[in-house]
Amino acid sequence: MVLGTVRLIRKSILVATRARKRLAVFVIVYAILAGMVILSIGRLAGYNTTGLVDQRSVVLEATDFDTITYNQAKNDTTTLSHVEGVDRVVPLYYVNFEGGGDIIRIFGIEPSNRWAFEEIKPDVISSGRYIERGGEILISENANLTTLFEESVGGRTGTIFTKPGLGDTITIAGGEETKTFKVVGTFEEGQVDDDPGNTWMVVTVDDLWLILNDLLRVYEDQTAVINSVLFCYKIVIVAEGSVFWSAVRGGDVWNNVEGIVEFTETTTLQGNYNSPEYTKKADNQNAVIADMMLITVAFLGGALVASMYAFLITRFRRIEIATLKAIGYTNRNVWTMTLGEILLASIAGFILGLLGIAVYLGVTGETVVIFSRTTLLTAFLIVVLIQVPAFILSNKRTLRIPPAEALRTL
Amino acid sequence: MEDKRKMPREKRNRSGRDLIIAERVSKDYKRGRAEIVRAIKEADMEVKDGEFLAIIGPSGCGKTTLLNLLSGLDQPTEGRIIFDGMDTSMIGEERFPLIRREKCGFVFQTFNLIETITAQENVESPLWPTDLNDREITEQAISLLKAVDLLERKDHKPLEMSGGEQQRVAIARALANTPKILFVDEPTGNLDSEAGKSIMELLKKLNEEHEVTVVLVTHNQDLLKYADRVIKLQDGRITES
Repeated sequence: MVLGTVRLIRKSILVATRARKRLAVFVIVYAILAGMVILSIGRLAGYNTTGLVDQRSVVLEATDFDTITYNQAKNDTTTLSHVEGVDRVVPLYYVNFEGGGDIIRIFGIEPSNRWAFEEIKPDVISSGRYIERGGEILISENANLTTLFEESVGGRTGTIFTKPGLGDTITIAGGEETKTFKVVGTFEEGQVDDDPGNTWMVVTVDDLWLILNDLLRVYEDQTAVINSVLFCYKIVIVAEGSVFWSAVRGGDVWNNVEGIVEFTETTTLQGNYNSPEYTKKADNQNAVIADMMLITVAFLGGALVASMYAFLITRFRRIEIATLKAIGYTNRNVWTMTLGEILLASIAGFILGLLGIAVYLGVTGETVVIFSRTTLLTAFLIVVLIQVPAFILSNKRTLRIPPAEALRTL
Repeated sequence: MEDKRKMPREKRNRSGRDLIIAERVSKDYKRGRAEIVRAIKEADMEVKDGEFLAIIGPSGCGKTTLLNLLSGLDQPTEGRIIFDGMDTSMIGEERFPLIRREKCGFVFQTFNLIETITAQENVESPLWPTDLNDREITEQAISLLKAVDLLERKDHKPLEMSGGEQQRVAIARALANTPKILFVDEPTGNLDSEAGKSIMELLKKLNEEHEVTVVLVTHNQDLLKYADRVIKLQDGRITES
């Protein structure tokens, strides 16, 4: 009966597409709801990505460039990682290459911590992609590296040459050694809060150490040397806890944030940092509650619309269903015929909703990380999940229609 | 297997055996909250293989209820129906549609065609859940539309067709599974006299030339001339057969 079932699904879609007005109305309604679900999931997913720093982090930024040494930051990182409620501490180190009055700062970051680097996080990548592995580098989109840097870097000589662009290579030389990086992405120039002419680049933490060790011959145990080469730009302290559940459970993640802030304000750290940057608990809580309400409305609304659709299909097609039963369709056959229509409307609605969001984001220029595989898959599963009551309802109602009704005179 | 499905089918010998037997069958309905109405009262009858049987009676006498019971669309409150040797009360709810699909065809007064699909698709629809391939289904539908003289209208939707044409499509659909028996409920009720006559002649032809057993329910005396045998129903009781 597999052939028959597959054909029934095909035919149910055919029947549905011929009832154009009904289908169009429900596709549009589904599209609106699917759009809400996708946006909500995107926002929730954003708590661990683009909104990570806003939602659950405390940022300690150096009062100025080249003021916090590697060792100071390393000790502060250790101190902060022992504070209660801390999930992880992400120090952002950089090394300077100077020449012709301009500076190139090369930052090192673990790709897994990319959302902690607020200035150069993945959604400010203007072309290409974020670094994922060694040998890859990100640069500012209008970086002009025509100057040859041959001056002293902490007593060692380093050279950077080539004019970089997406897909090009940048070669860094130190002594006899060279290391070539491939430019995999560029970020928006406005992200860099530095003197004009200074250029930022981002490589992995391992590559930053490779530059230090292999090219500049600077090692961690050379305390004085490394402290004159490697600096800390900021330390990001990520609080423990789930943002989504925090709103329900009394805000534990935001209590942790405030606990960390209190610690930094009452403890003397080795580096000179500005006042801690963080978002207040109430602001975060309100934002999450609004998002949760949005997803609840979308979820309940979706379930309601799906159920209404199932109800209407079985109501409008009552005689048709009775007739199909009379001519030998089993309950399962008839149910398959209604399922096809519900599925068609919801999938078409999902795609339309997605296109709608893409257009909306294109017009408003808003940056929301929603087009990730996980977000879309989760949103799609939710859209499918909200069909469950509709499937149950349509099954129940289909079962209740007696085939003898087909013989009733209208 | 394929030949059996195509029109015209091979002529069978009228066996004259009882295809359906109703034994002291009664059917009660609930009206309102408490009132029970007995729509069929202790009906004893049989439908013989290959015959054209008419059940006649005034409106509201229980004709359609009796047709529902004979065809297994409904179960009797009392008594039993033996359909092709099987007690209908013993057949499970999921199996009965399969038996109907294999052995029965239905023609309704209001045609009951699916309005959004074409004549050909309507004729094909009983075969959609089966394991026949698409080509076999199309061939069967085309052959049946040819038999009811509607091949040139195959791509039209029901609402683009006259009542007579729609009823012909409904008959072709009823024959899609090459049933043993056709249950026909007031087939001319919504048709003008000319179209009604043509439908009855088609049913008669199916009965005579292709040996399809026909059970016709009507209040129209003019249709009785097509029947081999007539059962009269009055207030839910068989008064004459």
